[in-house]
Amino acid sequence: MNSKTATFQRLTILWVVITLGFSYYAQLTFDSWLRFSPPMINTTYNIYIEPQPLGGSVAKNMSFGMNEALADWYWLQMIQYYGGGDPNGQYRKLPEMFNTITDLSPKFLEAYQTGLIILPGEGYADQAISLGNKGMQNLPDSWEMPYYTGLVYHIYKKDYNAAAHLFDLAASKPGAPANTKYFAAIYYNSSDQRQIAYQIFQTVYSTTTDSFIKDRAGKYLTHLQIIFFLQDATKTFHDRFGRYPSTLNELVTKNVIIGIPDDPINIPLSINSQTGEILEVRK
Amino acid sequence: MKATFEKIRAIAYNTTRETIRDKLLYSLIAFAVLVIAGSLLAGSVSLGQDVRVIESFGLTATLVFLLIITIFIGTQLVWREVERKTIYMALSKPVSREAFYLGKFFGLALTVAISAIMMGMIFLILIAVKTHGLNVSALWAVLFIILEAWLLIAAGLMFSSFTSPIASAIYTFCLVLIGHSSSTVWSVAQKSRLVIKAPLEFVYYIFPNLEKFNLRNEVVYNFHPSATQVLAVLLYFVAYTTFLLLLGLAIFRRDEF
Amino acid sequence: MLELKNISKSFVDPKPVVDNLSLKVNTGEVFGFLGLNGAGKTTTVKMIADLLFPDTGKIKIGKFDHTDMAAKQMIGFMPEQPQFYQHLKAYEVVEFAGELFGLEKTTLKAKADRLLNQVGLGESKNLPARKFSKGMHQRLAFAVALVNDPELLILDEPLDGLDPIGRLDFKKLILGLKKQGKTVFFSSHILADVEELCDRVAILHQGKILTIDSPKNLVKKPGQTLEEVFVEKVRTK
Repeated sequence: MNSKTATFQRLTILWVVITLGFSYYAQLTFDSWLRFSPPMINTTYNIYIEPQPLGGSVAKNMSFGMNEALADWYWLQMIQYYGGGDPNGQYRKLPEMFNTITDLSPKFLEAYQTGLIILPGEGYADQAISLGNKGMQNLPDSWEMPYYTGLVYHIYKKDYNAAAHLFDLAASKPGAPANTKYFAAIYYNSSDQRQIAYQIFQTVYSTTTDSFIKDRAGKYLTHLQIIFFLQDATKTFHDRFGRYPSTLNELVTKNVIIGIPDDPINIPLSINSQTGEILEVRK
Repeated sequence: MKATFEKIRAIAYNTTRETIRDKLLYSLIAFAVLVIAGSLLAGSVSLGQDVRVIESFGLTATLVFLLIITIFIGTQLVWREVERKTIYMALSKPVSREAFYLGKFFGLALTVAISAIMMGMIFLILIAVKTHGLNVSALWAVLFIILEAWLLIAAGLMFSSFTSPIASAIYTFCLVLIGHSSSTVWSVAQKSRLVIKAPLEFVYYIFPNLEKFNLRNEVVYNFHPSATQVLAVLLYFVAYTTFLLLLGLAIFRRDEF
Repeated sequence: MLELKNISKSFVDPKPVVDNLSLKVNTGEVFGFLGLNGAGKTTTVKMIADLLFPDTGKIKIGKFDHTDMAAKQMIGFMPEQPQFYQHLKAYEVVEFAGELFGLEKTTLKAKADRLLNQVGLGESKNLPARKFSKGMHQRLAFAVALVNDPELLILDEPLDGLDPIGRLDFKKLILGLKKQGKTVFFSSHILADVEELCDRVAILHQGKILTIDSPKNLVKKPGQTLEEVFVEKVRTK
């Protein structure tokens, strides 16, 4: 080893320190340029790419037997899409994505459930309902499909009759929660199918083991009995005076009944003076 | 007869040894394991569907990497022997062409099985950690993937006995695509008129129906194949693989080097 | 020991590469198969080794047809510019070759050691073949050809590409085999080798045999080398 290389080697540590120092300085300059000068590139500008899911049958034919994996791929993409926010604010592709996912994986229960929960909120109630119908077809044993679809009918369509039918259907499936039948009864009541509602409440009352539900069902039974009682009284009133009472109180003041019973679930009642129908006053 | 089996065994063992020592195999397996492990990541952002996602992505990764190994090593198996003239050494010795060909097949079959077991173990362990139990249907799916790969080795060998490795790789790949769209072919055939229907049905029956080996979609629903189903698939595998081997041998017997 | 009868072979070109070739190699002799590049030497050798199928004619080894397993059991074959499995160690290559002959695995290890020492690869026996030089490949191929103690050795250009020490080693090995009473058939385009080793030589040109004789008889004028004879024969044709 000659003396020159030896000196160089002895100075290795020094070189290391010097080069590190330079790199630190360079890094510092670079950082301060980024931090303290106005941005030269507009970094907030972001191209938004909307997902373009394949149609269900195309995706199925192109998956070459990897249906479930492709479904999961779209599932993850859907989560990113929904979670990431849509600058257009519409999530236009959301119904299409759920359709593709469930075409690829027709028994993907959670996909239907998620779709039924989030689609109506973005203004796709009809698409949610058809997703629910598809789910009921592909998963005939699932109580969740009619249950969740029923909720869409209730909340977004105010179609209590359809909701009641679906909840009744859900209650017949294995594993349905105990309150399903109870809800079905409430919807029948809301859609003025009081005889069906009464029968269902009665079955719920006599079969449920849940004390809360038993209590509520009992109260609903009383509520319906009051309505039936008032209906009979209205009939008597009509027979006696040839017209329907203009208010419920008139039944008492004209001595048809002694008083109006207290309603256990606090739904105010009124009467249609034209038809004599007893109405529940809904907010 | 016993001597022939011994020679097939020797060639098979040598093929396995040669392919196992290849760096290509290691890197493929390593990458596969990485991808399978990566499905953990995908699972973590899947709104509670992590087991499902790990199962479907992990099995797909296992299949894809096994097919890559099968197609790339399988179609080069004989070609490499010719290229390196190692085939001269084997065929000038008292080794029939049949024994050589079968030895190559069994050797790669063993390599593929070893790779599949390595990938499958990682995959099953991953699921076991997530679900605290052995997923039997996933185990079945991995076994069926091995059968599919074995069938494709026979196909790749058959193609490479009369054409170049790249062409055979492409043919084998096409076979994979056709084999996995068999249900599409069938449904199109049923909807078509006779002129198209007959050839499509011919395609459906003559090409390997690889969807028979596909339990991957059922795994996410924890489906177990019935005994008759397993037997039918085994019968199909044995019959079709034998057909491919015999066809390949008929060509290979006439090959000159 | 080896008999070729009216062998012809053509590939894509209708002009045959080997044209109605007949020759006979006697037991215990070293037979040189001479010819320019492209004369059809390797094609002939490959036909003997059952790698190519002759269009016409018959090849007999001993009393068997050359495709017979009993015939293949008797021969040791060394191809031109041999290569080996990349990831096998030298001794594994020899052992594998032995297994293809159906030899006992237990005795093979010792035999592989002995053969590798014999061809001068004793120290490299644990090296994978991909790390071998061209000459080492040649040596390994020779060991492989000897693994079954063959009656007949078929060597395609065995001395091609060897360094001077290697050539000397190989010549010694071939002469040693001759002493053991083995038959050696080898092709070459280098005349000097043939002159020293061979009992008889055949000169092949454009697929046809020009002459078969001992090197001594071929040299007619005093002072004439075999090289000159060869050139003369090829020219006059």
